[in-house]
Amino acid sequence: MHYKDKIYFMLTQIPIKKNKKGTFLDFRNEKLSSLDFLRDFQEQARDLSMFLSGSSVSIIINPEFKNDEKFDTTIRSIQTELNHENISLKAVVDSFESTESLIDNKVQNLPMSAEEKSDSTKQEILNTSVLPETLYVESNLRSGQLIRYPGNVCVVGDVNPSAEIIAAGDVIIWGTLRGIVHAGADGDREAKVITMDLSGGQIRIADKVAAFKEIRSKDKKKGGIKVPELVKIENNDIIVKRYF
Amino acid sequence: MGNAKVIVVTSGKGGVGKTTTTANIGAALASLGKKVCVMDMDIGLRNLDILMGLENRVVYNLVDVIEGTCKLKQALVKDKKVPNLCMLAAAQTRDKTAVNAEQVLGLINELKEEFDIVLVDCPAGIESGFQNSIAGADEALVVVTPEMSSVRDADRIVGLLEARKEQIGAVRLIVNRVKPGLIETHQMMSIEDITEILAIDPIGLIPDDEDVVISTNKGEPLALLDSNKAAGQAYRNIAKRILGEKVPFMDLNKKVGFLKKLKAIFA
Repeated sequence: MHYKDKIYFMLTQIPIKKNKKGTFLDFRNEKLSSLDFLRDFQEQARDLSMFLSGSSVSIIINPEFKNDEKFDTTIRSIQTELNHENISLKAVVDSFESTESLIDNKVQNLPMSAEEKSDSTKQEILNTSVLPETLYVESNLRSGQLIRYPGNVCVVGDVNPSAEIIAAGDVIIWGTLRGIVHAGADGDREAKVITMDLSGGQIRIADKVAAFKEIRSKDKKKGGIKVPELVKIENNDIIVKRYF
Repeated sequence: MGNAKVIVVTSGKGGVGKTTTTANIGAALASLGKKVCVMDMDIGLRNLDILMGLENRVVYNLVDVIEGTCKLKQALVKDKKVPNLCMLAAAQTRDKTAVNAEQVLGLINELKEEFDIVLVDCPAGIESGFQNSIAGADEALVVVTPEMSSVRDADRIVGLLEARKEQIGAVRLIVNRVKPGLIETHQMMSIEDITEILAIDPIGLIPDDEDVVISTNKGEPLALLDSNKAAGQAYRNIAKRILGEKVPFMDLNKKVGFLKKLKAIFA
Protein backbone atom coordinates (compact mmCIF):
# COMPACT_ATOMS: atom_id res chain seq x y z
CA MET A 1 0.00 0.00 0.00
CA HIS A 2 1.26 3.48 -0.77
CA TYR A 3 0.14 6.48 1.20
CA LYS A 4 0.56 9.89 -0.36
CA ASP A 5 -0.13 13.30 1.09
CA LYS A 6 -2.01 13.12 4.35
CA ILE A 7 -0.82 10.37 6.66
CA TYR A 8 -1.84 10.35 10.29
CA PHE A 9 -2.69 7.44 12.54
CA MET A 10 -3.46 7.71 16.22
CA LEU A 11 -1.97 5.29 18.67
CA THR A 12 -4.40 4.21 21.35
CA GLN A 13 -3.54 4.40 25.03
CA ILE A 14 -2.63 0.75 25.06
CA PRO A 15 0.85 0.05 23.74
CA ILE A 16 0.67 -2.05 20.63
CA LYS A 17 3.72 -4.20 20.08
CA LYS A 18 4.61 -6.27 17.11
CA ASN A 19 7.13 -8.96 16.48
CA LYS A 20 7.43 -11.90 14.11
CA LYS A 21 4.83 -13.73 16.13
CA GLY A 22 2.18 -11.14 15.58
CA THR A 23 0.53 -8.17 17.20
CA PHE A 24 0.33 -7.81 20.96
CA LEU A 25 -1.61 -5.51 23.26
CA ASP A 26 0.47 -4.76 26.31
CA PHE A 27 -1.71 -4.70 29.43
CA ARG A 28 1.10 -4.91 31.93
CA ASN A 29 0.58 -1.33 33.04
CA GLU A 30 -3.17 -1.69 33.45
CA LYS A 31 -5.11 -2.52 36.61
CA LEU A 32 -6.85 -5.41 34.90
CA SER A 33 -9.05 -6.33 37.83
CA SER A 34 -10.60 -2.90 38.26
CA LEU A 35 -14.03 -1.98 36.93
CA ASP A 36 -12.60 1.16 35.37
CA PHE A 37 -10.37 -0.89 33.15
CA LEU A 38 -13.18 -2.77 31.47
CA ARG A 39 -15.21 0.37 30.97
CA ASP A 40 -12.24 2.21 29.43
CA PHE A 41 -11.33 -0.78 27.35
CA GLN A 42 -14.70 -0.73 25.64
CA GLU A 43 -13.83 2.65 24.18
CA GLN A 44 -10.30 1.71 23.35
CA ALA A 45 -11.43 -1.40 21.52
CA ARG A 46 -13.27 0.89 19.14
CA ASP A 47 -10.05 2.78 18.40
CA LEU A 48 -8.20 -0.47 17.96
CA SER A 49 -10.66 -1.62 15.34
CA MET A 50 -9.28 1.07 13.07
CA PHE A 51 -6.00 -0.83 12.89
CA LEU A 52 -6.85 -4.33 13.76
CA SER A 53 -10.33 -5.13 12.58
CA GLY A 54 -10.32 -8.47 10.84
CA SER A 55 -7.12 -9.62 12.44
CA SER A 56 -6.06 -11.35 15.61
CA VAL A 57 -4.05 -10.13 18.56
CA SER A 58 -2.46 -11.57 21.63
CA ILE A 59 -2.36 -9.82 24.96
CA ILE A 60 0.48 -9.44 27.42
CA ILE A 61 -0.35 -9.52 31.11
CA ASN A 62 1.65 -9.46 34.31
CA PRO A 63 2.56 -12.99 35.49
CA GLU A 64 0.87 -12.37 38.88
CA PHE A 65 -2.46 -11.70 37.25
CA LYS A 66 -2.64 -15.32 36.14
CA ASN A 67 -3.44 -16.25 39.73
CA ASP A 68 -5.99 -13.50 40.26
CA GLU A 69 -9.54 -14.70 40.87
CA LYS A 70 -10.80 -12.32 38.20
CA PHE A 71 -8.44 -13.68 35.58
CA ASP A 72 -10.97 -15.78 33.67
CA THR A 73 -13.77 -13.22 33.63
CA THR A 74 -11.46 -10.37 32.70
CA ILE A 75 -9.96 -12.25 29.81
CA ARG A 76 -13.38 -13.26 28.58
CA SER A 77 -14.60 -9.67 28.79
CA ILE A 78 -11.60 -8.46 26.85
CA GLN A 79 -12.22 -11.12 24.27
CA THR A 80 -15.88 -10.12 23.99
CA GLU A 81 -15.01 -6.49 23.42
CA LEU A 82 -12.43 -7.40 20.83
CA ASN A 83 -14.87 -9.68 19.06
CA HIS A 84 -17.34 -6.79 18.87
CA GLU A 85 -14.76 -4.99 16.77
CA ASN A 86 -14.04 -8.04 14.66
CA ILE A 87 -10.70 -8.68 16.34
CA SER A 88 -10.00 -12.16 17.62
CA LEU A 89 -7.92 -13.01 20.65
CA LYS A 90 -5.19 -15.43 19.76
CA ALA A 91 -3.29 -15.94 22.97
CA VAL A 92 -2.48 -14.55 26.39
CA VAL A 93 1.19 -14.27 27.28
CA ASP A 94 3.04 -13.02 30.32
CA SER A 95 6.15 -11.74 28.63
CA PHE A 96 7.12 -10.13 25.39
CA GLU A 97 10.40 -11.02 23.80
CA SER A 98 11.33 -10.81 20.21
CA THR A 99 11.74 -14.56 20.01
CA GLU A 100 9.68 -16.05 22.81
CA SER A 101 5.99 -16.65 23.28
CA LEU A 102 4.51 -18.43 26.28
CA ILE A 103 1.00 -19.71 25.92
CA ASP A 104 -0.94 -20.06 29.11
CA ASN A 105 -2.59 -23.43 29.59
CA LYS A 106 -5.66 -21.94 31.23
CA VAL A 107 -6.43 -19.95 28.15
CA GLN A 108 -6.51 -23.04 25.96
CA ASN A 109 -9.97 -23.69 27.38
CA LEU A 110 -11.41 -20.57 25.83
CA PRO A 111 -13.53 -21.19 22.75
CA MET A 112 -11.36 -20.76 19.71
CA SER A 113 -12.02 -21.44 16.10
CA ALA A 114 -10.51 -24.61 14.69
CA GLU A 115 -8.09 -22.57 12.60
CA GLU A 116 -6.77 -20.65 15.57
CA LYS A 117 -6.29 -23.82 17.65
CA SER A 118 -3.81 -25.18 15.18
CA ASP A 119 -2.08 -21.81 14.85
CA SER A 120 -1.58 -21.46 18.57
CA THR A 121 0.53 -24.58 18.78
CA LYS A 122 2.99 -23.29 16.24
CA GLN A 123 6.00 -21.41 17.54
CA GLU A 124 5.89 -18.96 14.66
CA ILE A 125 2.59 -17.12 14.75
CA LEU A 126 1.99 -15.39 11.46
CA ASN A 127 1.26 -11.70 11.44
CA THR A 128 -2.31 -11.53 10.24
CA SER A 129 -2.86 -7.86 10.99
CA VAL A 130 -4.52 -5.88 8.20
CA LEU A 131 -2.21 -2.94 8.80
CA PRO A 132 1.06 -3.14 6.83
CA GLU A 133 4.09 -3.45 9.01
CA THR A 134 5.81 -0.53 7.33
CA LEU A 135 4.27 2.72 6.22
CA TYR A 136 5.68 3.85 2.88
CA VAL A 137 5.59 7.58 2.15
CA GLU A 138 6.64 8.89 -1.23
CA SER A 139 6.82 12.62 -0.63
CA ASN A 140 8.61 15.28 1.38
CA LEU A 141 7.38 15.87 4.86
CA ARG A 142 6.85 19.58 5.37
CA SER A 143 7.06 21.60 8.55
CA GLY A 144 4.10 20.89 10.77
CA GLN A 145 3.24 17.52 9.22
CA LEU A 146 3.14 14.57 11.58
CA ILE A 147 3.21 10.82 11.02
CA ARG A 148 2.41 8.49 13.88
CA TYR A 149 2.54 4.80 13.09
CA PRO A 150 2.61 1.55 15.12
CA GLY A 151 5.25 0.05 12.84
CA ASN A 152 8.21 1.08 10.69
CA VAL A 153 8.12 4.21 8.58
CA CYS A 154 9.95 4.64 5.29
CA VAL A 155 10.03 8.08 3.68
CA VAL A 156 11.29 8.58 0.14
CA GLY A 157 11.81 12.31 0.34
CA ASP A 158 13.06 14.92 2.79
CA VAL A 159 11.89 15.48 6.33
CA ASN A 160 11.88 19.25 6.78
CA PRO A 161 12.55 21.18 10.00
CA SER A 162 9.68 20.80 12.46
CA ALA A 163 8.15 17.88 10.62
CA GLU A 164 7.71 14.86 12.91
CA ILE A 165 7.73 11.10 12.58
CA ILE A 166 6.74 8.98 15.58
CA ALA A 167 7.14 5.27 14.86
CA ALA A 168 7.00 2.20 17.02
CA GLY A 169 9.59 0.56 14.77
CA ASP A 170 12.47 1.76 12.63
CA VAL A 171 12.55 4.87 10.51
CA ILE A 172 14.25 5.01 7.14
CA ILE A 173 14.60 8.29 5.30
CA TRP A 174 15.73 8.17 1.70
CA GLY A 175 16.40 11.90 1.66
CA THR A 176 17.58 14.63 3.99
CA LEU A 177 16.59 14.60 7.64
CA ARG A 178 16.16 18.02 9.19
CA GLY A 179 13.15 17.36 11.38
CA ILE A 180 12.21 15.29 14.41
CA VAL A 181 12.18 11.50 14.34
CA HIS A 182 11.18 9.20 17.17
CA ALA A 183 11.89 5.54 16.47
CA GLY A 184 11.00 2.81 18.93
CA ALA A 185 8.44 5.20 20.34
CA ASP A 186 6.88 2.40 22.39
CA GLY A 187 10.12 1.86 24.23
CA ASP A 188 12.01 -0.38 21.81
CA ARG A 189 15.66 0.46 22.25
CA GLU A 190 16.60 -1.79 19.36
CA ALA A 191 14.93 0.55 16.92
CA LYS A 192 17.12 2.44 14.51
CA VAL A 193 17.04 5.36 12.13
CA ILE A 194 18.74 5.25 8.77
CA THR A 195 19.00 8.38 6.67
CA MET A 196 20.72 9.40 3.48
CA ASP A 197 21.67 12.83 4.80
CA LEU A 198 21.62 13.76 8.46
CA SER A 199 21.47 17.51 8.30
CA GLY A 200 19.99 18.75 11.52
CA GLY A 201 16.94 18.00 13.60
CA GLN A 202 16.51 15.65 16.48
CA ILE A 203 16.46 11.88 16.73
CA ARG A 204 14.80 10.05 19.61
CA ILE A 205 15.08 6.31 20.07
CA ALA A 206 12.88 4.87 22.81
CA ASP A 207 13.68 7.16 25.76
CA LYS A 208 16.92 8.67 24.48
CA VAL A 209 17.28 11.94 22.58
CA ALA A 210 20.07 13.35 20.42
CA ALA A 211 20.17 16.68 18.62
CA PHE A 212 22.09 17.30 15.42
CA LYS A 213 23.68 20.38 13.97
CA GLU A 214 22.44 21.64 10.69
CA ILE A 215 24.77 21.28 7.76
CA ARG A 216 24.57 24.27 5.48
CA SER A 217 25.58 24.35 1.86
CA LYS A 218 28.79 26.17 2.72
CA ASP A 219 29.96 23.21 4.79
CA LYS A 220 29.06 20.89 1.96
CA LYS A 221 31.14 22.91 -0.44
CA LYS A 222 34.13 22.61 1.84
CA GLY A 223 34.13 18.85 1.44
CA GLY A 224 31.22 17.79 3.66
CA ILE A 225 29.33 15.47 1.33
CA LYS A 226 26.12 13.62 1.95
CA VAL A 227 26.77 10.32 3.68
CA PRO A 228 24.16 7.69 4.55
CA GLU A 229 24.19 7.17 8.28
CA LEU A 230 22.74 4.77 10.81
CA VAL A 231 21.58 6.03 14.19
CA LYS A 232 21.00 3.62 17.04
CA ILE A 233 21.52 3.04 20.74
CA GLU A 234 24.80 1.45 21.74
CA ASN A 235 26.03 1.30 25.34
CA ASN A 236 23.04 3.28 26.50
CA ASP A 237 23.68 6.22 24.20
CA ILE A 238 22.57 7.25 20.76
CA ILE A 239 25.41 6.90 18.29
CA VAL A 240 25.77 7.69 14.62
CA LYS A 241 27.60 5.34 12.32
CA ARG A 242 28.34 5.64 8.66
CA TYR A 243 26.21 3.13 6.91
CA PHE A 244 28.93 2.01 4.54
CA MET B 1 -13.92 37.88 -18.47
CA GLY B 2 -14.16 34.31 -17.34
CA ASN B 3 -10.48 33.65 -17.85
CA ALA B 4 -9.26 35.68 -14.93
CA LYS B 5 -6.38 34.46 -12.81
CA VAL B 6 -6.55 34.70 -9.04
CA ILE B 7 -3.15 34.76 -7.36
CA VAL B 8 -2.76 34.73 -3.59
CA VAL B 9 0.39 36.27 -2.09
CA THR B 10 1.16 34.52 1.18
CA SER B 11 4.07 33.69 3.47
CA GLY B 12 3.05 32.42 6.90
CA LYS B 13 5.48 34.72 8.61
CA GLY B 14 4.57 38.37 9.03
CA GLY B 15 6.65 41.27 7.80
CA VAL B 16 8.45 39.56 4.93
CA GLY B 17 6.95 41.69 2.18
CA LYS B 18 3.59 40.25 1.10
CA THR B 19 1.81 43.58 0.92
CA THR B 20 4.75 45.33 -0.75
CA THR B 21 4.94 42.48 -3.25
CA THR B 22 1.20 42.58 -3.93
CA ALA B 23 1.23 46.33 -4.51
CA ASN B 24 4.29 46.28 -6.75
CA ILE B 25 3.38 43.25 -8.84
CA GLY B 26 -0.15 44.59 -9.21
CA ALA B 27 1.17 47.91 -10.41
CA ALA B 28 3.64 46.25 -12.78
CA LEU B 29 1.01 43.95 -14.28
CA ALA B 30 -1.34 46.88 -14.80
CA SER B 31 1.44 48.84 -16.52
CA LEU B 32 1.80 45.90 -18.91
CA GLY B 33 -1.79 46.42 -19.94
CA LYS B 34 -3.72 43.96 -17.77
CA LYS B 35 -6.84 44.85 -15.80
CA VAL B 36 -5.72 44.19 -12.24
CA CYS B 37 -7.44 44.24 -8.87
CA VAL B 38 -5.38 44.07 -5.71
CA MET B 39 -7.37 42.89 -2.69
CA ASP B 40 -6.42 43.25 0.97
CA MET B 41 -7.52 40.28 3.09
CA ASP B 42 -5.84 41.44 6.30
CA ILE B 43 -9.10 42.48 7.94
CA GLY B 44 -8.46 44.60 10.99
CA LEU B 45 -4.84 45.35 10.12
CA ARG B 46 -5.08 46.71 6.62
CA ASN B 47 -1.92 48.01 4.97
CA LEU B 48 -2.39 47.64 1.23
CA ASP B 49 -4.22 50.98 1.00
CA ILE B 50 -1.22 52.74 2.57
CA LEU B 51 1.28 51.19 0.16
CA MET B 52 -0.88 52.08 -2.82
CA GLY B 53 -1.23 55.66 -1.58
CA LEU B 54 -5.03 55.33 -1.58
CA GLU B 55 -5.82 55.28 2.14
CA ASN B 56 -7.93 58.41 2.21
CA ARG B 57 -9.90 57.32 -0.84
CA VAL B 58 -11.43 54.26 0.72
CA VAL B 59 -15.16 54.69 1.24
CA TYR B 60 -16.35 51.10 1.24
CA ASN B 61 -14.39 47.92 1.90
CA LEU B 62 -14.76 44.24 1.12
CA VAL B 63 -16.73 43.50 4.27
CA ASP B 64 -19.29 46.10 3.19
CA VAL B 65 -19.59 44.34 -0.17
CA ILE B 66 -20.01 40.93 1.45
CA GLU B 67 -22.60 42.22 3.90
CA GLY B 68 -24.52 43.92 1.10
CA THR B 69 -24.04 47.45 2.39
CA CYS B 70 -22.77 48.50 -1.03
CA LYS B 71 -22.16 47.21 -4.52
CA LEU B 72 -18.73 45.92 -5.53
CA LYS B 73 -18.15 48.85 -7.90
CA GLN B 74 -18.57 51.30 -5.05
CA ALA B 75 -15.85 49.62 -3.03
CA LEU B 76 -13.26 49.44 -5.81
CA VAL B 77 -10.80 52.32 -5.65
CA LYS B 78 -9.14 53.29 -8.92
CA ASP B 79 -5.41 53.91 -8.73
CA LYS B 80 -4.23 57.49 -9.13
CA LYS B 81 -1.61 56.80 -11.75
CA VAL B 82 -2.38 53.52 -13.50
CA PRO B 83 -5.82 53.47 -15.13
CA ASN B 84 -6.50 49.75 -15.19
CA LEU B 85 -5.49 49.11 -11.59
CA CYS B 86 -8.06 48.93 -8.79
CA MET B 87 -7.86 48.19 -5.11
CA LEU B 88 -10.36 46.53 -2.79
CA ALA B 89 -9.52 47.46 0.79
CA ALA B 90 -10.05 45.43 3.93
CA ALA B 91 -12.09 46.69 6.85
CA GLN B 92 -10.11 48.23 9.67
CA THR B 93 -12.83 48.29 12.31
CA ARG B 94 -13.63 44.59 12.07
CA ASP B 95 -11.49 41.46 12.32
CA LYS B 96 -10.86 38.21 10.46
CA THR B 97 -14.01 36.58 11.80
CA ALA B 98 -16.13 39.05 9.84
CA VAL B 99 -16.09 36.88 6.73
CA ASN B 100 -15.97 33.20 5.84
CA ALA B 101 -14.42 31.30 2.95
CA GLU B 102 -17.69 30.91 1.07
CA GLN B 103 -18.36 34.63 1.12
CA VAL B 104 -14.84 35.40 -0.05
CA LEU B 105 -15.24 32.90 -2.87
CA GLY B 106 -18.40 34.64 -3.99
CA LEU B 107 -16.63 37.99 -3.97
CA ILE B 108 -13.70 36.63 -5.94
CA ASN B 109 -16.03 35.21 -8.56
CA GLU B 110 -17.58 38.66 -8.96
CA LEU B 111 -14.12 40.19 -9.34
CA LYS B 112 -13.18 37.63 -11.99
CA GLU B 113 -15.92 39.09 -14.20
CA GLU B 114 -14.26 42.48 -14.22
CA PHE B 115 -10.53 41.86 -14.15
CA ASP B 116 -7.78 39.85 -15.85
CA ILE B 117 -5.83 39.28 -12.68
CA VAL B 118 -6.85 39.43 -9.02
CA LEU B 119 -4.00 39.60 -6.52
CA VAL B 120 -5.00 38.64 -2.97
CA ASP B 121 -2.84 40.01 -0.17
CA CYS B 122 -3.04 37.29 2.49
CA PRO B 123 -2.52 38.07 6.20
CA ALA B 124 0.17 36.34 8.24
CA GLY B 125 -0.75 33.09 9.98
CA ILE B 126 -2.36 29.78 9.08
CA GLU B 127 -5.84 30.06 10.55
CA SER B 128 -9.00 31.62 9.22
CA GLY B 129 -7.35 34.67 7.65
CA PHE B 130 -5.18 32.40 5.54
CA GLN B 131 -7.96 29.91 4.85
CA ASN B 132 -10.27 32.66 3.65
CA SER B 133 -7.59 34.20 1.44
CA ILE B 134 -6.88 31.02 -0.49
CA ALA B 135 -10.59 30.39 -1.02
CA GLY B 136 -10.69 31.39 -4.66
CA ALA B 137 -7.04 31.19 -5.64
CA ASP B 138 -5.72 29.45 -8.77
CA GLU B 139 -2.07 30.15 -8.05
CA ALA B 140 0.06 31.12 -5.10
CA LEU B 141 3.16 33.20 -4.58
CA VAL B 142 5.00 32.41 -1.37
CA VAL B 143 7.22 35.20 -0.10
CA VAL B 144 10.23 34.42 2.07
CA THR B 145 13.22 36.28 3.37
CA PRO B 146 16.55 34.45 3.64
CA GLU B 147 16.09 33.54 7.30
CA MET B 148 15.44 30.16 8.86
CA SER B 149 12.31 31.35 10.66
CA SER B 150 10.79 32.65 7.46
CA VAL B 151 11.68 29.47 5.56
CA ARG B 152 10.17 27.23 8.20
CA ASP B 153 6.91 29.16 8.22
CA ALA B 154 6.85 29.13 4.43
CA ASP B 155 7.36 25.38 4.48
CA ARG B 156 4.25 25.03 6.61
CA ILE B 157 2.33 27.23 4.22
CA VAL B 158 3.50 25.32 1.16
CA GLY B 159 2.42 22.12 2.86
CA LEU B 160 -1.05 23.57 3.40
CA LEU B 161 -1.20 24.81 -0.19
CA GLU B 162 -0.06 21.48 -1.61
CA ALA B 163 -2.90 19.82 0.24
CA ARG B 164 -5.17 21.73 -2.14
CA LYS B 165 -3.38 20.65 -5.29
CA GLU B 166 -6.58 20.35 -7.33
CA GLN B 167 -7.47 23.96 -6.70
CA ILE B 168 -4.13 25.73 -6.50
CA GLY B 169 -2.11 24.81 -9.57
CA ALA B 170 1.17 26.68 -9.29
CA VAL B 171 2.96 27.49 -6.03
CA ARG B 172 6.00 29.67 -6.67
CA LEU B 173 8.62 31.32 -4.53
CA ILE B 174 9.67 34.93 -4.16
CA VAL B 175 12.78 35.57 -2.09
CA ASN B 176 12.68 39.08 -0.71
CA ARG B 177 15.32 41.26 0.92
CA VAL B 178 18.23 39.38 -0.58
CA LYS B 179 21.64 40.70 0.43
CA PRO B 180 24.07 39.21 -2.08
CA GLY B 181 27.11 40.42 -0.14
CA LEU B 182 26.08 38.50 2.98
CA ILE B 183 25.28 35.41 0.93
CA GLU B 184 28.72 35.50 -0.59
CA THR B 185 30.38 35.59 2.82
CA HIS B 186 28.08 32.79 3.98
CA GLN B 187 26.40 34.93 6.60
CA MET B 188 23.01 34.65 4.96
CA MET B 189 21.11 31.66 3.59
CA SER B 190 21.67 31.21 -0.12
CA ILE B 191 18.87 30.77 -2.63
CA GLU B 192 19.93 27.13 -3.02
CA ASP B 193 19.63 26.60 0.74
CA ILE B 194 16.09 27.93 0.58
CA THR B 195 14.93 25.99 -2.47
CA GLU B 196 16.50 22.81 -1.13
CA ILE B 197 14.12 22.93 1.81
CA LEU B 198 11.06 24.39 0.14
CA ALA B 199 11.32 22.44 -3.10
CA ILE B 200 9.34 24.97 -5.14
CA ASP B 201 10.55 27.06 -8.07
CA PRO B 202 11.58 30.66 -7.51
CA ILE B 203 9.82 33.20 -9.70
CA GLY B 204 11.72 36.21 -8.39
CA LEU B 205 14.55 37.44 -6.19
CA ILE B 206 14.21 40.92 -4.79
CA PRO B 207 17.27 42.68 -3.42
CA ASP B 208 17.16 44.44 -0.09
CA ASP B 209 16.63 48.03 -1.14
CA GLU B 210 16.04 51.03 1.09
CA ASP B 211 14.10 52.62 -1.74
CA VAL B 212 11.36 50.16 -0.90
CA VAL B 213 10.85 51.69 2.52
CA ILE B 214 10.85 55.18 1.04
CA SER B 215 8.31 54.32 -1.62
CA THR B 216 6.15 52.49 0.91
CA ASN B 217 5.81 55.56 3.04
CA LYS B 218 5.12 57.74 0.02
CA GLY B 219 2.47 55.38 -1.22
CA GLU B 220 4.08 55.00 -4.62
CA PRO B 221 4.84 51.40 -5.64
CA LEU B 222 8.49 51.22 -6.67
CA ALA B 223 7.67 49.19 -9.73
CA LEU B 224 6.00 52.20 -11.30
CA LEU B 225 9.08 54.36 -11.22
CA ASP B 226 10.91 54.36 -14.50
CA SER B 227 14.37 54.22 -12.99
CA ASN B 228 16.59 51.21 -12.97
CA LYS B 229 16.27 50.74 -9.26
CA ALA B 230 16.98 47.11 -8.59
CA ALA B 231 13.95 46.21 -6.49
CA GLY B 232 11.53 47.89 -8.88
CA GLN B 233 13.11 46.12 -11.83
CA ALA B 234 12.87 42.80 -9.98
CA TYR B 235 9.14 43.29 -9.42
CA ARG B 236 8.61 44.18 -13.07
CA ASN B 237 10.44 41.01 -14.08
CA ILE B 238 8.20 38.94 -11.82
CA ALA B 239 5.14 40.47 -13.46
CA LYS B 240 6.47 39.47 -16.88
CA ARG B 241 7.19 35.94 -15.70
CA ILE B 242 3.66 35.64 -14.34
CA LEU B 243 2.43 36.44 -17.83
CA GLY B 244 4.57 33.66 -19.23
CA GLU B 245 7.57 35.58 -20.48
CA LYS B 246 10.99 34.04 -19.86
CA VAL B 247 13.07 36.70 -18.15
CA PRO B 248 16.54 35.79 -16.86
CA PHE B 249 17.15 36.49 -13.19
CA MET B 250 18.97 39.74 -12.47
CA ASP B 251 22.54 39.42 -11.31
CA LEU B 252 22.19 40.88 -7.85
CA ASN B 253 25.89 40.77 -7.04
CA LYS B 254 27.51 44.13 -6.89
CA LYS B 255 30.66 44.48 -8.92
CA VAL B 256 33.37 42.68 -6.96
CA GLY B 257 36.59 44.60 -6.69
CA PHE B 258 39.96 43.10 -7.58
CA LEU B 259 41.07 42.88 -3.95
CA LYS B 260 37.94 41.02 -2.96
CA LYS B 261 38.44 38.53 -5.78
CA LEU B 262 41.99 37.98 -4.59
CA LYS B 263 40.79 37.36 -1.06
CA ALA B 264 38.20 34.89 -2.30
CA ILE B 265 40.90 32.75 -3.91
CA PHE B 266 42.78 32.41 -0.65
CA ALA B 267 39.74 32.00 1.65
